[in-house]
Amino acid sequence: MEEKIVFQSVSKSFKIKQKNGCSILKAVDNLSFSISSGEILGLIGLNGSGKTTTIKMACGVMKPDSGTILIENKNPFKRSMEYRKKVSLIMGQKSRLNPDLSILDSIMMYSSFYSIPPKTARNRTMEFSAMVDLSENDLNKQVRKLSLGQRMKGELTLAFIHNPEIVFLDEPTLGLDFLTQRKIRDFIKDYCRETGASMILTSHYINDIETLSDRILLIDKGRKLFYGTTDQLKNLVPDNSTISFDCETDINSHLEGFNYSVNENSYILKINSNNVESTIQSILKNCRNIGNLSVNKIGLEEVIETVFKGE
Amino acid sequence: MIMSIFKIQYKIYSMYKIHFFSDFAGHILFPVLINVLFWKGMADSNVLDYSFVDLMVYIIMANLVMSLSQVAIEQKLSNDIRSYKLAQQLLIPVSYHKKVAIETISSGLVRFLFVYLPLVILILILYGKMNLLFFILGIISILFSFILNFLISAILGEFSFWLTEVWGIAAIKNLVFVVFSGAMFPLDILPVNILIAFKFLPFSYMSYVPTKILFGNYPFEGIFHSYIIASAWCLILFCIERNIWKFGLRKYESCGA
Amino acid sequence: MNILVQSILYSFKKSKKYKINTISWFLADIALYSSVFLLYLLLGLSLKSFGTYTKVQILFYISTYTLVNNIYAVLFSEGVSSYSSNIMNGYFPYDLLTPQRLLFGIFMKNINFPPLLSTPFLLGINIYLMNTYSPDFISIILYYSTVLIGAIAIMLIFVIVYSFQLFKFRTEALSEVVLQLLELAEKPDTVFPKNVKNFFTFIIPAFLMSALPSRIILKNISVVELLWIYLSPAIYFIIFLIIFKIGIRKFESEAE
Repeated sequence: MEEKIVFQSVSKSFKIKQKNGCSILKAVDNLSFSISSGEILGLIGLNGSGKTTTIKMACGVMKPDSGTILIENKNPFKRSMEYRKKVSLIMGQKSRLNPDLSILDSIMMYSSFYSIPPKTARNRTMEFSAMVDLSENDLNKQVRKLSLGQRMKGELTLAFIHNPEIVFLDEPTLGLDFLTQRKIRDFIKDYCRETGASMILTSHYINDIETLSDRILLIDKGRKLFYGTTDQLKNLVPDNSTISFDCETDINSHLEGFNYSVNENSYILKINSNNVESTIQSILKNCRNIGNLSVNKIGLEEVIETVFKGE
Repeated sequence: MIMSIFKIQYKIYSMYKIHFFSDFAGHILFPVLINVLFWKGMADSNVLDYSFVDLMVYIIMANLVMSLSQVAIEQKLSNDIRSYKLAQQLLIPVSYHKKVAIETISSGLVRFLFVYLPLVILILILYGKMNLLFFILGIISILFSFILNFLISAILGEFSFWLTEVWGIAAIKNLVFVVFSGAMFPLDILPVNILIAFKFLPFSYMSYVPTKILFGNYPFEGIFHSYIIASAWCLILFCIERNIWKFGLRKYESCGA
Repeated sequence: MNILVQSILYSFKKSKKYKINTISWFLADIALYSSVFLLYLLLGLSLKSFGTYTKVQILFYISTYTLVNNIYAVLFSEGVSSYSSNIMNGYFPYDLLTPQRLLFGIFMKNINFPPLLSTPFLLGINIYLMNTYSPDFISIILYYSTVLIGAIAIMLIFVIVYSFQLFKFRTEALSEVVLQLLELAEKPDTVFPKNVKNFFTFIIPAFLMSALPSRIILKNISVVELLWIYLSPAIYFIIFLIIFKIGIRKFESEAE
């Protein structure tokens, strides 16, 4: 598959002025990854871990100190007109919609910058707004009077109006309720699937990343902690599944070698997902009157927590 | 309380040296310089009662007096009225107007003591017109100017009870002041009947009259008259201000701004 | 073309939503312009001449200045301040990624409708005063083209000043000073000593807003000055490009 976005050992540091001289902060340290068409890369990291720096470098407004960044095999820092028409940047905290006008007003003006005829712009707006659940009434309302979620939906419609092939999304769901988050996620996912667009996405919500991203890049203090698919990430933690059940007979002797805890008759076992079936079989064999049996895979959030702790 | 507000204002003023520079360059140095050059040319090609030096000293002094007594609280009042802040302020056991007045005076006082007063005295001494009696009478006149400025600014700010924006009106105020106050040129180069008309408006008491008094170029009778007219204006503006505030507050309390 | 239409529509809608603000603009504009006219009318009561200008000529001079100011306010004032604030508050990447030339894009996003309300008045006064000199057709064309150029030159000056923000310099003080210096345009140029006059014609081009266009109609302009009017935007634009090229490199390395 064609690589749309390529980072090759990219590093970036900032000078920070302090009272006693300058200190150097490594915002991004030797980062490499690539994104093919139709792929979404989720960037996860704590505050100040270099996510925004990465996004800014990827979209071509901040230059790395070393390393190569290629967008469709070209240098994004030329910011050619052709490039600008292909990309879209959304900074979740920085709205482009004019608060005094309607979403449609802003879209009509911005779409003219992309040489989209008014009629096409209107049609596309209607199409997108149906996808994100934005009524025609909302489109014509003063942005100031819209809820945060509706505004973000408008923001997305604006950002996708020129059918970008490459999208940089910095915190698109910050502060939104879960229903709106889900709507926005679905929209982004559908858009990517239909158009084959590539995306880099940062979010505080692991849920966003887990459902949207094909691959995940976990960074801390600018360094790569993990890069791969969600399942690969989950496999980093050995005991990534839990089995819980109630059992009247004492089966402690059979559980030797397992990571487990007991509270009266309730057992909780932590095991690797590959061993779930065999373990359950052995439990069923040794335990009479078993009840409340359930198997859970641990959430991505916990995995990430473990990975961060391991560092 | 006055001291604590005063201290804060002093800190703000000394912290922003760049601000101070642009303040000084933008509002005093360049306007004065430009005016000086302009009037030099004008004095050369026209017959005026003023010599060029007189004209220059007048304009410098008139601008000092003008910026000294200038009050621009309309934006502050407007912001307070348009936000929830006024409601908060009304709960503080100090009258809102007193607080605003003290803040304005103390910020003005810092500028007055450290920038303007030394300059005023310096100019008077260099120009050989330092006369204690006229100096005191002049300062009293500047006080009137300050009160007039404060009241007008407050009235315009209080329009915010009804309007969402007051900066347009504030801009008009500044421009009217510049033309009619005598900060641009001495009003007495104008034909006499126009000068007389100007004396019945409040604007000339903001720059022209105090400046002339400081220089001792004003007859005692004229000073007396100026005090009477200025206080009359103060009284009129005060009544207007009180009533606007009263009606405005009634609207504010009944439905918010 | 569509951009222009959409931008004007956008700005018109903005002004409609902000009625009071629009009225404020209009009032402030009218006050600004009439106060300057009033000042010179008043002075004209007791003064015979203003530099080399008569008291009627000076009114025409002022009307040129107000017209340039007005055009600047409509086309550039909001754009210039948005350029400045976007660099500081992190919105600048949006401008950089808009698929139009940078300045064009910024100005199109920020056409300011309200000052357009006072344009008819100013143009009316301007035409009325110009008629006293019964200018020929070519002069009229030259005059109005230089009026537009004056506005463009002033825009470039401010864009140059604000470009220093790319280097993380705070430019409030500098821009305030430049603004004050440009207001010199309201004064008749011939009143000033030659050095001062030249400085404010060729370096800080205040008189590009008033004296030079006016003197085309008053038939009192030198070839050098005429050349300068048409050359100045190019020169300021080159200066802008140089500063911007260096500045954007700095911005790209430290944007945060």
